[in-house]
Amino acid sequence: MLEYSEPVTKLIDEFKRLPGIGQKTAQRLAFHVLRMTQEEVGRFVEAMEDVKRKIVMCTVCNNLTDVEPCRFCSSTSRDRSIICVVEEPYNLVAVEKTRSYNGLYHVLHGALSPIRGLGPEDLRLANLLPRLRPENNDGVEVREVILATNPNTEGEATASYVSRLLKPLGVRVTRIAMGMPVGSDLEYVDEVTMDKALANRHEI
Amino acid sequence: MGLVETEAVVLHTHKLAEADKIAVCMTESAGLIRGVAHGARRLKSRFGAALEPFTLVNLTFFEKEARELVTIKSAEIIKSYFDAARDVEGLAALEYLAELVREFAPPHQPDPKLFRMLRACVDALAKEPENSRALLSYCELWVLKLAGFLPDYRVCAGCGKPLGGAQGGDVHVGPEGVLRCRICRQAGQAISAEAYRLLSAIRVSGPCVWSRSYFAVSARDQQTVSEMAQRLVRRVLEREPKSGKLVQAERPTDGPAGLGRA
Repeated sequence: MLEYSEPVTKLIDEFKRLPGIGQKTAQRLAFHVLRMTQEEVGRFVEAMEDVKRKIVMCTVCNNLTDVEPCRFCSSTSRDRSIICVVEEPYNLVAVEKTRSYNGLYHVLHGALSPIRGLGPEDLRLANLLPRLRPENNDGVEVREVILATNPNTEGEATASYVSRLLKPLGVRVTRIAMGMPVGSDLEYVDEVTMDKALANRHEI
Repeated sequence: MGLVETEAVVLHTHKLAEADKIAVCMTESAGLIRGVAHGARRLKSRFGAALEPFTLVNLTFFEKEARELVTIKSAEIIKSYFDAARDVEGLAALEYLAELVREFAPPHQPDPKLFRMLRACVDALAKEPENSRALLSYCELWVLKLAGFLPDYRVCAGCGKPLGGAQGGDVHVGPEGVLRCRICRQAGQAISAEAYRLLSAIRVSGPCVWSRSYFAVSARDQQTVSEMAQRLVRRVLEREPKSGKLVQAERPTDGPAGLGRA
């Protein structure tokens, strides 16, 4: 790109490496950086450096954290007999927002995806099975593992795979329900979602 | 160009921006397309489960000249295969098939035969997941045939003489996956008359019928045919398909009862 001077071109190229950022957005961001004060740029750079320096993966649950073990694993007020398995650290935030779940988490950092070459060995599962033993869980036996992987084909296959690993250990394995989103309208629902909603119906 | 309405099989999707998806679809009238579905990842998206991989949909999209990406306007489910891909074996087999079609189908070129083959194979894999090894070999051979890469098994690749009515030991398969007569044979192994008949039957049999013929021959012949198909795919792609690793690990090895895993 010859239109801009080298430092600007370099910044645009770096922004373009970010997910979901194309040429035009990268240009817009680069020019926004040029309009920022030196102090603002310093804060921005410091934030990026901090996140890379301070954030580590919890050795117990694989969540991203600045303390080891993470605040969920080290908390004394959480129910240690339930573990919720999620695909990514940001999925954990969605469960936490409900304020109705007080158990522990386990982050897989991905889902099975043969087309992307991601198999079971690429999931962070190695530390899940030992966690089920009371001696590795502050003396508490794990009663239930909730599989909260995404409700799509890859998430379903991942949940199926994890359940096959866990069931022989005698722990109760459950899957989050699939069905109608709250506030939607039956008129617009597709047949797969409706079928899942009917299959997961409950008595009132 | 303009608005197109056609049947399609969703092969693969990936995330785009905040809430959009890019869907790769094999369509009946427009061939392989890549389209943006705006807002498809939102909870109350109008697409719902229609853009989940392997779903047969009635797709409406808008295409502009000189633009590779089309804009998906709507997708109505004709048949969903969501439950067929809910275990690792099912997902691996279907994604392998989707990868084959993506690799071999040229974009934006209608190929109704390939579309029909894909539709039939997705349906067969959903109905008979325990036969996935045979069905995937069927898919490999047909995809190669429709893309023009399958050698004519009726004649010797060396001298061009007909191989028809082959007796056991008369036909030899070389390391590159082509068949030669006894005279032209190079390094490679002789294939049995049953394996040759199985290969020939692919031209006239549907996936479920062929998979029954596949399991009717010996395990050695099954392996010969499957390896030949895989070798040809690797030779054309010049690499192992990405989903190949998992599919090899998950393909049942002992026939239609789904006994044992590789």
